Amino acid sequence: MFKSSKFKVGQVQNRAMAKILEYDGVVIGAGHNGMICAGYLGKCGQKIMVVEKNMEVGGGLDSHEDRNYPGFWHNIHSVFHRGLMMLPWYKDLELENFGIHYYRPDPGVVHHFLDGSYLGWFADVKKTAETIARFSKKDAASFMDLWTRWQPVVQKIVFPETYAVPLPFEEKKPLLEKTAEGREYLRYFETTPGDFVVDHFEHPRVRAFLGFLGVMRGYELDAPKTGYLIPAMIAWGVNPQLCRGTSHALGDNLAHMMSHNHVDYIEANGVERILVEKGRATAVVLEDGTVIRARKFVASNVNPVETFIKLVGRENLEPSFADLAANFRFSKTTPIFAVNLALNERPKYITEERFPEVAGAFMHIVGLEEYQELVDLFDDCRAGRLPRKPFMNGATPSYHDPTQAPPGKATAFMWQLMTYNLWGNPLNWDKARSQWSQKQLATWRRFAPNLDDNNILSMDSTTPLDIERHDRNMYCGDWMIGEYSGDQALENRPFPGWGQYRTPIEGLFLCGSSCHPGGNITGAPGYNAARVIAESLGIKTWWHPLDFREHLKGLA
Amino acid sequence: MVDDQWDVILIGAGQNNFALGTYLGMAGLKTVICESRLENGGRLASEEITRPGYWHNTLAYFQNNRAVSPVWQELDWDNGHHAEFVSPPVISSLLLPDGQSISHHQFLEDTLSFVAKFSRKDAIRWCETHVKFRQIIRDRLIPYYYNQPGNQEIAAKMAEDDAGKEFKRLWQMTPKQVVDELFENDAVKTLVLSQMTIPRGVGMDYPGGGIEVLKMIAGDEKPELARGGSHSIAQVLQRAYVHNGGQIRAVHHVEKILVEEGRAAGVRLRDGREWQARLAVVSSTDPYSTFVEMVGDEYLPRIFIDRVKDIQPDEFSYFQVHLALKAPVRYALHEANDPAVGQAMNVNMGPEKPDDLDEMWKEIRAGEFPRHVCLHAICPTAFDPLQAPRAKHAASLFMPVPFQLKGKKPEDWVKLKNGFMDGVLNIWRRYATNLTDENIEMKVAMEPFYIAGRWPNMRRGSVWVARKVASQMGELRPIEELANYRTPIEGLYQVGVATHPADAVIAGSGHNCWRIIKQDLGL
Repeated sequence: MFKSSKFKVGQVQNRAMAKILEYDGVVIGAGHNGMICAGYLGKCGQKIMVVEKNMEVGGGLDSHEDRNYPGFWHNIHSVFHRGLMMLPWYKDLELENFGIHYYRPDPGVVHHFLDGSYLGWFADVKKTAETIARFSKKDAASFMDLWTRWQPVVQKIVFPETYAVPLPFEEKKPLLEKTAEGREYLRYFETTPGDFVVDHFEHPRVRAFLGFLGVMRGYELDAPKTGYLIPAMIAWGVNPQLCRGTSHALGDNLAHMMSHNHVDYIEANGVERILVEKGRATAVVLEDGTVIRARKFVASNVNPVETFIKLVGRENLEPSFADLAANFRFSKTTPIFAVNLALNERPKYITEERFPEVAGAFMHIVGLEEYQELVDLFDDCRAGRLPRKPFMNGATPSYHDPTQAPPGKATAFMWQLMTYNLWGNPLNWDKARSQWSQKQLATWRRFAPNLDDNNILSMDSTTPLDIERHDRNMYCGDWMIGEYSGDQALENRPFPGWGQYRTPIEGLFLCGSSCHPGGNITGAPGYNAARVIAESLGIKTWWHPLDFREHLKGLA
Repeated sequence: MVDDQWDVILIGAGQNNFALGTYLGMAGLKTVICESRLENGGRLASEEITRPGYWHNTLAYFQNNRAVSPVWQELDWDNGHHAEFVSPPVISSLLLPDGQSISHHQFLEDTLSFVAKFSRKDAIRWCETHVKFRQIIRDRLIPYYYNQPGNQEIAAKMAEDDAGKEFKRLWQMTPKQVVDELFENDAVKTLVLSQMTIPRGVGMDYPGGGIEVLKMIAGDEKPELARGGSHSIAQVLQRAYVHNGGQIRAVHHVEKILVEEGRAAGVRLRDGREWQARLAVVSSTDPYSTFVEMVGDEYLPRIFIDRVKDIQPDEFSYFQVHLALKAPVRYALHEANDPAVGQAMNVNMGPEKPDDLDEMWKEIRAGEFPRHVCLHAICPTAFDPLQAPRAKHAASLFMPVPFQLKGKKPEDWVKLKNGFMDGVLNIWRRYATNLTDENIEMKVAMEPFYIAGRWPNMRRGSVWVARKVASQMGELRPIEELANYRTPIEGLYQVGVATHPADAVIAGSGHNCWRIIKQDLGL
């Protein structure tokens, strides 16, 4: 009478039939670049689907609630955003309508030294120079000179180039030579960031400060053809800003912007395959078997190794191109070991006793006493060993944005740039985690003695391996998503000859940080890719992208 | 853009306000949701709390009744906004220490065949009860949930025939009484009763809790795991809301509901900004926060405030253990005896007879960490691999515990939780044969103090906000004055789990309140 009828062991029940969806375009990866790219094209009237592997959209715009104490939010990846509100996509996509708010603490950066002195970066450049002058008058003069000389270079060349499709060097060189700013740009083009800093500054602490500010952006000290980025950074200004409600709020707001513009997105369902038919990208297949047809294009926000080797497959590529993709280099020096604290009270730095103005600083640098230590870190990272001496940059987000901690409490974090491939195997991170986090905390404590056991409610850490585990785009824990060096920069990013967001597969584009101008929250790769895609589809752009060639001609 | 003027301000980004906001947006109104947390979705939460890539559902872990919900259809959540689910064939299995088990299946025949192994008579009773009430649940109970509780037409229909009267009689009883009336076998009774507290929120001796037994036996229950994790349901709801013009403001903590001339006129945020609501303010947080804290005594009748303060919270809260695993949880002995265990969404361990659950409740009420545990284990990755990294697994364990342990402060949970976690894991291991240290990559405990801090509406860790006893259900939920979502303040509405139907169906109060607001505003 009660015989089981339908139930059989091992039978896959209720599995939904593989779905087939169809869109004009599919964007792989809902990091900020992918969402920006989709937003622009969605606003063109294209029907777009963005597919995200993680449960949360935002990529590096990620934050977690403390696992021991509720109400404390930790920014897991990106924190220091630079002037987003003046960027073209922020205005074009009307992001201010979605409730984003940025705090601009001043000073933006304070580099503490053990003797109680500091170097600081202020909104007012003269104050910055004053802190440098305490160490070296000559360096302060050199700093002001670069700042002044490079203002027009940044405004007329570096900034426009960031938000434009890059030109091949041979093509832009003659145009640059025609203007004073262009010649200034070319003057330092060949050098490395490290050489630039050493050539222009004498004091080991000033060198350390400026060198580290570049390095923490993902620049490599010894990478050729990226030295010009240091004077550009000086003139552009290092004024980091903090997103209200943690960085993830920007990710959420970009998602709202997409919904608002009728762009669809799904999360927790990664792309497994890009289907190529007759040399053209026509669809993607998701983890659960869903097929999304792309009538017009597929844009990949993930790195070229993942895009080409894993998703497209060598069988669809010229062997020489497949090798290019497979050999794309990830940085050995950008991965981060993060210590996140939930605190009863904010860290109080010894420097505050003599200089009360540093208490309100956004970024705090501790442990780096001279330039040589930065050079040593590069050696340690590349050799796959722990740094011989911890030095870190971090912040106290709740000081500026009280929503990130319960009332009266505080959150703070410190990041150590670190090797991914620890002792030859990244899995060693699971063993080394707790010891290293104690070491990092001990260093931090020397600068902020109130970080004692009574003050610390909860301490958590993220290893370079965790970065990769969380975000499959960040191979080797590299949040720059590809080493930023001459042969992987500008028109050569990701590869020489393929630096314009296009790929050998028709209808397949790249729109992520592996393209010009690289990692960080700039939105530029997504912004520039949207233009390239729109042009290749023959769609009139409703915004006004800059043509860098015409722009340079105009300057001349 | 000056964003300080809205038609409707909704407090709390949970399922009810998402649904209500979407209806309002479709009607052309300009709405904003103010959420005090960074993350939306309320209890629809999934987080990487063990290791990156493992998404653990930290409160609600499945959803039910989608097929019968008018909201799903009306708001096009499935097709328009890409909701995806998997539905395990076995709803729950109760494991017994001797290697036997008893299971509740999606398909009646399968449940009956398992129940019959323990008692043929009980299987017949189960079948009879199912047949008798199935249609009533479909045609009368679900509409009851998706309407304001005072709807006379529905109330009349509910008891229009003998079966309906019988249904009402059992409904009003306690779960224990219903089970005792229906069944003879302890295992069968325990299978049913073990499902009452988690996930259904009722004690075995709560009058009115009988309905949960009837729903379990006779409802069209089809529990579903949201693909990727419960939070993806929140994302779907959010997309639909924003797509229809809604705005969301995270970390916007509403401190005050502004009342002018007896009308809800707007809100003041914690940072001092004031926003104007031209038509209405809707709160989905708990009534205590809404009225005592946000509105304030001065605007409300004394007797009303006292009644809000007297709303009874849950007597229990949740203790949770989340595991990042290499291999899915296996119950080798039980699975060998009964393969259904391997296909069960929910695996229950601990109680063998109803008395064990009685003991558990005594311990909870005495403020003790229960020695008679009732464990609810799920391993969602066995059904939906997307909730963990490839070839890895995530598992979670939920159990009812008191909010405050005797002689301790609530915050003492933080220090005690790891000890309790190890104790609970040891009990789990008696059944789960592969939960070795080698298999567990990371384990994290979550406790009631954390729940209360994370979700401010769940005061004292009270997940259901207002205890699900007869005196706080239906037309009395949470108190008579609030049962129709209207409040003593004109233009202020209360929704959320504290109101009818207590989240028995998704976005029930949001849907019902929409009808009330539509009427009030003449939309």
